[in-house]
Amino acid sequence: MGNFLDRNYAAIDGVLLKYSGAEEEFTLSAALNGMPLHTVGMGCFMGMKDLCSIKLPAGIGSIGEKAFSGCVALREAHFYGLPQRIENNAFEGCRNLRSVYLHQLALPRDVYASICAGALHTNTESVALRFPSFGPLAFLQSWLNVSAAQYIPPACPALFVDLPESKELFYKKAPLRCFDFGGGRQALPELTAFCDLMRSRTDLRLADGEKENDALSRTETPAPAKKTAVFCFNENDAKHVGDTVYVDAEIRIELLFFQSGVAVTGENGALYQVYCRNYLSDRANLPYLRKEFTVLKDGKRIIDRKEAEAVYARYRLLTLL
Amino acid sequence: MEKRTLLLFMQRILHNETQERAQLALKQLQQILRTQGADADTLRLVENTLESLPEAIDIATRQEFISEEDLAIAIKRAARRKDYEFRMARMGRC
Repeated sequence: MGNFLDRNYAAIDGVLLKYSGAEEEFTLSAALNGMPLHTVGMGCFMGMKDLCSIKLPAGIGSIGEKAFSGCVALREAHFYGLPQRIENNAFEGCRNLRSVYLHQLALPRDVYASICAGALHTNTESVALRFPSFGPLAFLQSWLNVSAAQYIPPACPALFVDLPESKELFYKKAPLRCFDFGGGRQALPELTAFCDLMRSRTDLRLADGEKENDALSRTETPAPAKKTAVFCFNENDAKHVGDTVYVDAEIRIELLFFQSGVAVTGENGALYQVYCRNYLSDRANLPYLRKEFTVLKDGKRIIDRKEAEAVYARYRLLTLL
Repeated sequence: MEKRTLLLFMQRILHNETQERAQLALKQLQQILRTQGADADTLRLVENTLESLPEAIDIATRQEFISEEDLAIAIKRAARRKDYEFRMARMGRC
């Protein structure tokens, strides 16, 4: 296939052997001097302490051992193709890796598994798998055909699946209680329950050749949900599924999930979400989570309502009840 | 792959590099060479370089191009170092 050697790159037969640049945001070319790249070689970007963001082109199908190991500043990785193989320690030590963006539609199940095993085998608190290029229904279509266990490797501390506009969609069209899964293996029951729930919602499935927008228009529309509230509370206040947190004399919230992130439902089908303090606190789009509101048990409400309202209004995220 | 091209790549891989990263890159190079059906001599050259990495990195960092002779020197130095380390370890045990 050919060779390519210059000041920054060394590549043979489509395998990138070494990259010596020092960019913070790096987009790997699909081809070097006409030679298409298909593999990021072992240790290729290893120890690049300034690398914050990496974008891998569609042609990259394999990520070698320790390819990004020790990239301590790496926060996000974009896969524009279908990586067939990601070695388990490819992202070892990327302790700031927070988001893995998958831009390809219809990933086969083994690719999901390898991405989880490779990309999430890190020391980070949580990694979000994001699917910016396709809608939630198409994602679910592939999701429904696999077992939940494939998504969460044993060492994965947390998995957070983020679909564009999915929350709005699910609140309006299919009022799911939660679309956040945290806590590795401990989250399996919740994830399995979620998959079961989605399997039961046949109206959410895409028929052969059906466009997503058509499917959305035919999905049943439930009664409009009541207002949504977000409360941040001290993580020591509730630790187990089934714990109850009282945030207001009028609002009783039953804890359904608890691990890093929390989703809860209120009475009468109203949807609430509760995040514990520090949960994904460095996500740029959820800065309000850095605020340390505290809600104690036993009916004592010590959340500062005014301050909370100001914060929510500022970020125009959600309405406080 | 021609030997001169291989040496150019090896120089670039080793140049100013940490041992771990250079080792991984050379292993990757070895895999590629095996896939290409490289001869035993070429594979041995890479294998020997892998076993004398600190010295090979030192030479590759100081020179723009490394020759087979340079690598032979690195391998000899590595052998001397390993022998010295072995003797020191034995002295410690006695």
